Amino acid sequence: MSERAWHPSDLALDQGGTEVDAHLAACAACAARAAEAAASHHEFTAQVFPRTVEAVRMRRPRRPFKIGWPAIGVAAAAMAGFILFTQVRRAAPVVEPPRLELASPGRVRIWTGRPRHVAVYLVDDAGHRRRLWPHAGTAQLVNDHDLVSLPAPDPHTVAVVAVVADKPFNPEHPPSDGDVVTLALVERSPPNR
Amino acid sequence: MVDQLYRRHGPVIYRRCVKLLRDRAAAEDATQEVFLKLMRHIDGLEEGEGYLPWIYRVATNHCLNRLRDEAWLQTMPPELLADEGVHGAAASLPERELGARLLAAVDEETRAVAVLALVDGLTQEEVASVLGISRKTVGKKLRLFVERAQRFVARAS
Repeated sequence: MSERAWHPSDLALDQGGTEVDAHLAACAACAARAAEAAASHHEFTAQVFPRTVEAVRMRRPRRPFKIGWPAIGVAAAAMAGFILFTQVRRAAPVVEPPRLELASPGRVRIWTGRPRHVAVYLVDDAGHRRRLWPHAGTAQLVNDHDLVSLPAPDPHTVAVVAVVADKPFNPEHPPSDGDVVTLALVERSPPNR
Repeated sequence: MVDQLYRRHGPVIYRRCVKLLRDRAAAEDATQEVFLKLMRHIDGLEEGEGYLPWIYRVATNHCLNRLRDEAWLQTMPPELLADEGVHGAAASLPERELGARLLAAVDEETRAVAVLALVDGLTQEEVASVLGISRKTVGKKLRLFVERAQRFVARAS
């Protein structure tokens, strides 16, 4: 093999492929590099990953949704204020269909029209959203009229928001083409009449 | 989701950081930083093969910036700069010192081009793909870097 013979770069080694595999079979030096890479991989998996994964989980970016959560939060807060003002306990859904409806205290009914994938969030009076349902994993396939339980009343919660899509999605990254349905909530008791 | 991505991409990032930083603790920190950057940009990346060039670029820049910020390139003990390449003996200590000083003296993109091409042995096409610049630009920057290096060496000797 001449000095100018081709040897795969680190990037090529990582990318793999038949040409790289063939080279590794014939070049002891590059096979040693590949073995080093495998050892480093093992070191990461066995030692670095367990030691650092929690820090990564805690620091992972929590991005605002592309569909404009601040605007939704402000709108929801304004709606909640209006409802308080008019002493209406139950609010009407903003968008339909699909739509959300307060079925009973602590439960929300989802009207999707057909089986669709849904993730539900709570929005507080500062416009911050928090994932409500499903607690983990991808958005859930729900049927029309399904019910979702709400957590204990929180005085700062002003709205329930659902993202409804035809395809499965990660609730942390809802699709920009999904339907967004907002239900304003008033968890406080209205004044006595 | 985060765990899966970290388990999948962490090893490549870690290996890259170890190679450039020569310090496992520093590489561990750098791996987390680069992975968090990946998480922030993952939506815009092409699934699969698209991640690797991005990881190479960001990990390389991150590590080189760290070396620059900590003035490692100027002060690093020469023995730590040794790179026992698989296809030849490592350069002599004065040469490595010289190389380190030279790398510290060029702009970030040129430094990345030089490291990827001359240290990692990436082809110009691969460097272009990793850095998101044209092959022509890679060739130009590499040529200027080598010319500058030659002047640097001439002055030093």
